[in-house]
Amino acid sequence: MTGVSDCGSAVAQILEILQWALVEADLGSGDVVLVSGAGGTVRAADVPDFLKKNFFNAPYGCALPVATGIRASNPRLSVVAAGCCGDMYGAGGNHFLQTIHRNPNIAHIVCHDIACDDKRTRTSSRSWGTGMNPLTVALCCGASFVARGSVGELEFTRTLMKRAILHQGYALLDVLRPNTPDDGKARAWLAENTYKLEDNTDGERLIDHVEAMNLAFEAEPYPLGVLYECKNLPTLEESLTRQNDDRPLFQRTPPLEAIREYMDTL
Amino acid sequence: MNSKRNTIRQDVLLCFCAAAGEKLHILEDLMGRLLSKAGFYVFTARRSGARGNAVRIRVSSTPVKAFVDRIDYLFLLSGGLRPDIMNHITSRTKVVGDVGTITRDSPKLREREAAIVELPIAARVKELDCAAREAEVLAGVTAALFGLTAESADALFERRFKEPEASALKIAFRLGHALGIEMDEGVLVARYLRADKKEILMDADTAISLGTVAGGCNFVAAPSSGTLFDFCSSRAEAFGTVAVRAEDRAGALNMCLGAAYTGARALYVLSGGSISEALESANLSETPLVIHTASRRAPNANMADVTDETADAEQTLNLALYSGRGEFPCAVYAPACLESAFALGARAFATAEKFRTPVVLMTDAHLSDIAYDIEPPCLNPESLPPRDVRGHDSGLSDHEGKKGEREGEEDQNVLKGLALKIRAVDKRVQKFAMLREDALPPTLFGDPLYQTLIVSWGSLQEPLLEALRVAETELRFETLGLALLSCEQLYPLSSQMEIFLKQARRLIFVENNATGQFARLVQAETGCVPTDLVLKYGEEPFSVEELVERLQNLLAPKEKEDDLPLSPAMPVVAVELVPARPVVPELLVVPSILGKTAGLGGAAGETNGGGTQ
Repeated sequence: MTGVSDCGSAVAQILEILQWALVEADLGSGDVVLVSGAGGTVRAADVPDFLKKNFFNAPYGCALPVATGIRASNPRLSVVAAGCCGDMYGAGGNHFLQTIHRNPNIAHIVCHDIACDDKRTRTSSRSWGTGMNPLTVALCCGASFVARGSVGELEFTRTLMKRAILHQGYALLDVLRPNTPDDGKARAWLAENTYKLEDNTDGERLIDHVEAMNLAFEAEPYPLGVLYECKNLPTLEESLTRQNDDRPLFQRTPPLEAIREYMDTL
Repeated sequence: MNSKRNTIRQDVLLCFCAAAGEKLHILEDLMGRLLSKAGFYVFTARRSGARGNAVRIRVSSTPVKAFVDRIDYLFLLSGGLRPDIMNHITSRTKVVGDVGTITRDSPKLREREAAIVELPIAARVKELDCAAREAEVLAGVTAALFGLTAESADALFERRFKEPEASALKIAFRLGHALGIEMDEGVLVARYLRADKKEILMDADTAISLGTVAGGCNFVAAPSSGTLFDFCSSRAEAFGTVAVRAEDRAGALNMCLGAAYTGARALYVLSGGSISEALESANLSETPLVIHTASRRAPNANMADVTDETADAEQTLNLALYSGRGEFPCAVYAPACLESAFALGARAFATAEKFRTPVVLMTDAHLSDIAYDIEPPCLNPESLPPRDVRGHDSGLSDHEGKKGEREGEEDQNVLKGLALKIRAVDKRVQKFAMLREDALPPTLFGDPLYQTLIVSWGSLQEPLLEALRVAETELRFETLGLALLSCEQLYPLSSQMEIFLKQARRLIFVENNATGQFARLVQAETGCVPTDLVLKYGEEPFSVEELVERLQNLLAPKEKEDDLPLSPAMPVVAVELVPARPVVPELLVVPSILGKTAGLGGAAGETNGGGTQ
């Protein structure tokens, strides 16, 4: 891992962010499942080689439903879905919208490629990898945690990641990554085009939707930090888990008595 | 206005027709439950769509499990009869309805010499000035015809509806009951008032849902709401199940994969197509996944403009057999009756877990539409296969179906070597043979010393059995030397299949599709060549009468057709089987050189070509 921390190697960056955040969040390796989409930045084949965690390599675009399924059937696991923007926002666009809507307790980290060369135009898909602004979309859909980090601010992004993992509910961390092999150019672009928001962990700004939306629309410089955080939204698992029974599904036995009772009513 | 009939019949067929949108299923459910509880044996079949709803209720003194064309009583809730109902009206049919409703169809009904019974339903409902519906009035009429009391439905209404509505419904029911008494039809069905009648009325969806839950199913994801999904989601509290409505098929499938990965017993419900990805993903990751393809009446791409009721029926067998890139083991079950819908629902989960492979559970639209009295399935808490649960104990797990430490296996993920691929495929091929050993044998009915064998699969078993009984009692054709082989596991075929088939000189395959998909499969697997195919496709299921007719044409062709009404003009094909395309040879060849050591599956991530921007 050491020696690959230049901005061009996003796999390494994302993994470094994740690794540190998982340690900081004090999660044992057996308690975490890492779900990744195939292809893109966090390559399906690469993850298990660098992180000693349970993992699930989902098909391209399908990491979020897999993560939802895992959380829904075993709420004791911490689930992190990681992938690139084409995977998560492009191919998995509809899953992205619906997952936010369902609000499962997962952390969603997306490496967002952004073009930084001269050919870039604001409206073209070159500037927003997939031609959309994921933060505004997430806010519109009612995401309970929306944050942006960058590969130029590793320390800062790690703390964001930790907060995303510990957040109860769906948490989006969009990580900006200049799409250029030139490390110096990438750092220069990030320094020029991003700025860090004040760190107000419990500030009032965090629950102001309009303020968050304004920040999400800001560009060049792009704000980095937590744009929105709402702590009390009901999660998917809470609505699904049987009352008085928070056992994971694998521990449950067939409800023969309930079936017998039901058949008696027929 | 009507002639009094005192003849006691063995079974009576009632048909209720209404315009699209009118909720006949409440009537169907109500009448089915009432008559079943009263000691009758009941069979119901429903048909709904934009061209009107129809419900048929067969009431009998002995168990009835099959669809018949005959209509004894036709109750009309609105005018404009569908042609498929009109075709079955004969001089033996009594048409019951409101004066205004019948007028529209009366010329055609008179043409068919049907007896018309006009009841002043609308006028009476108006007099009462309550929010009653005609459906409940007709339920009351029917109850009276079968000798039930005017209060018989009270308990049901009270249980299902809140107070102001329940009272209105009770009044409507009593009103209908009085009209039914006025009709004075006598006792319709000889009735065994058996206090110990054990059978309960169950529909196919309930049977399959209860079966899957009894088999351990506790996670259901579906792209749209369906009866099975609704069943599990509305009873999540009692059954401890988790049901998630997904945004689309990929969403539902991947939720199921995620759930199964953590040890849930997952059921992926979809209608027909796109099971290819499910088979691939579950097989590559060795995930035990049950896929229920519930064919139902729905618009499909080919016929959307022609009809809203295209039944996929048994046309999806090839889809389950040949979907997906790669050679995958997979068990395919198709319940032949409601009893086995329950049993196979449970068995599917056991098989999936045992072999860590996907299992396809197929039900066709004709099975989904019916309900009849079955003996309560026995619930034995037999030991379910142990599970490999991810994210539970100390071992780490990847998605490839492997559990344990990863040190020392340098090549496995980044360098997916040729050796790994071959080992993975070898393992899958071995599973073919193991699944085959585990396969359910087919069931044989009839003369064990048969020379002619009728082969069916899926929902055709019960209609065929009744057709054979009818043929025997009515001397339509010789049933000696004739047997029925009913298959519920379609793939891999049990080794007994071949033994059964080889005994017969003549093999008749009866299927609900246009090309004889199962006949082709059987020929490819066993080498036994079908002599005749009896096929039907389209909206209507095979009725008992039609099967008798079609089998008689094959087995006793010299006799001329008698006075039995001919079935409606559905395309009728009986063709010699000529393989239109080469069958797949040696699908089950298992290389014997392979040990059981391969502990690796493939890589699900590969299935999408690892696409990047």
